[in-house]
Amino acid sequence: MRDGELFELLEAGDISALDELIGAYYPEILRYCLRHTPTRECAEDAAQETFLNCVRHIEAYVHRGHFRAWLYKIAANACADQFRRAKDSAEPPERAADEPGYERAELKADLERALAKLPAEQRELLLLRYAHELTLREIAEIRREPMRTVQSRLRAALKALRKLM
Amino acid sequence: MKSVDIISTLRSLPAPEPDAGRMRRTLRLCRAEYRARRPLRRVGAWELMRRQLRFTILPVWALQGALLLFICLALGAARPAEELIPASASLAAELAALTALPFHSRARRYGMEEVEAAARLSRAKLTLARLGAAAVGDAVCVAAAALLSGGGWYVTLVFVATPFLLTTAVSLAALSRAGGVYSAICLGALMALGYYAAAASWSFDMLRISPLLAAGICLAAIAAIAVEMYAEIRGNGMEKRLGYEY
Repeated sequence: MRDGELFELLEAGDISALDELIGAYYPEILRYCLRHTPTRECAEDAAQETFLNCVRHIEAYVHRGHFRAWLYKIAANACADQFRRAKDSAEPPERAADEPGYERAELKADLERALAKLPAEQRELLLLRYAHELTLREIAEIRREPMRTVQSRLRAALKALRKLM
Repeated sequence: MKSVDIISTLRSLPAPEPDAGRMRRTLRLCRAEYRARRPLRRVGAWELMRRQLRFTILPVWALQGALLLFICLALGAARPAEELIPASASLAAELAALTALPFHSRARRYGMEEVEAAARLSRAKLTLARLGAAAVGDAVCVAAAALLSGGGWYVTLVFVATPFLLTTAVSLAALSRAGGVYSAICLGALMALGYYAAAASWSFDMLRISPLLAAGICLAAIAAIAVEMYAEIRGNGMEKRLGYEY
């Protein structure tokens, strides 16, 4: 079911639409959070906080087909909060994205290493565009930048990544 | 390595499976949060405008009430000397046109325009409510000036309606173009003084103007007022004023 229909159902009082909405976006938001927080636990907390914030402000959000971008914006803030909290704690950070079997794929390992060397802004752009498959318009909305700027920065990021590999 | 390969590798980066228990917990918490929220009530256009009036009406209507008193006294005092009535009526109408200006664009004057624009209230409805409040008071003042001048419809058209509409149009145009309430008041006052002087010196000559010409001037002024009000309601040029557009 499309987001617009789910919002209509939710407005009509069908709370199962909320489950469907969260269920549809949870995996990709968790994936985003895993890349932006030091541990898997932090990422899960950030994803949970993202959806709780989304529900808290759902009435203020007017559905215009940009729900995904709005959710990513909340997720970015939640990750920043989680990162700050994790930084304050003394525990050594453990990379969330280092899933078992990752190093086995040489190309993917190279890519991960190259991505880590990229400036955070370029890495974020590449991941949002290609790993999360967000449209340029959605990225522009998340970053509050014109679409053309996003496009040219994305091109530069891809060029930089190619040089590093 | 080719960009295409990089992109396809980026696309195939592993997406870790979410923990089902954690996801269920998130869903449960979200449901509880959704049920506990206090739903916002949608306020209709009329209700919003009516609610805004209580913040707007008091100062505007207080000034217009004082003006109404002045109109009654001035036109009552001018009654024995009939030649003074047209000039007094036109002065009353012009002052009525200027009364709304001190309360206009207060957010802009006090540097609160951005805060007002960021509020989740419709700017258009807010402006409409303010303009509506001022217009009601203006209508009462103009009607009093027209009634107390005691002349026929043509005297009302030339010495009440025309100066009122012209002063309103000039001051609104100055407000949006000269960029300040003070300059709008100054220009409006100059216009008012000019019309007052003309009405005082050539009242009989002015009554010989063709009714069509007078009506044409009034219609042109109404059109200019409508354009300025539309621009004000739409908030034209706000981005530029706030520095978001160069």
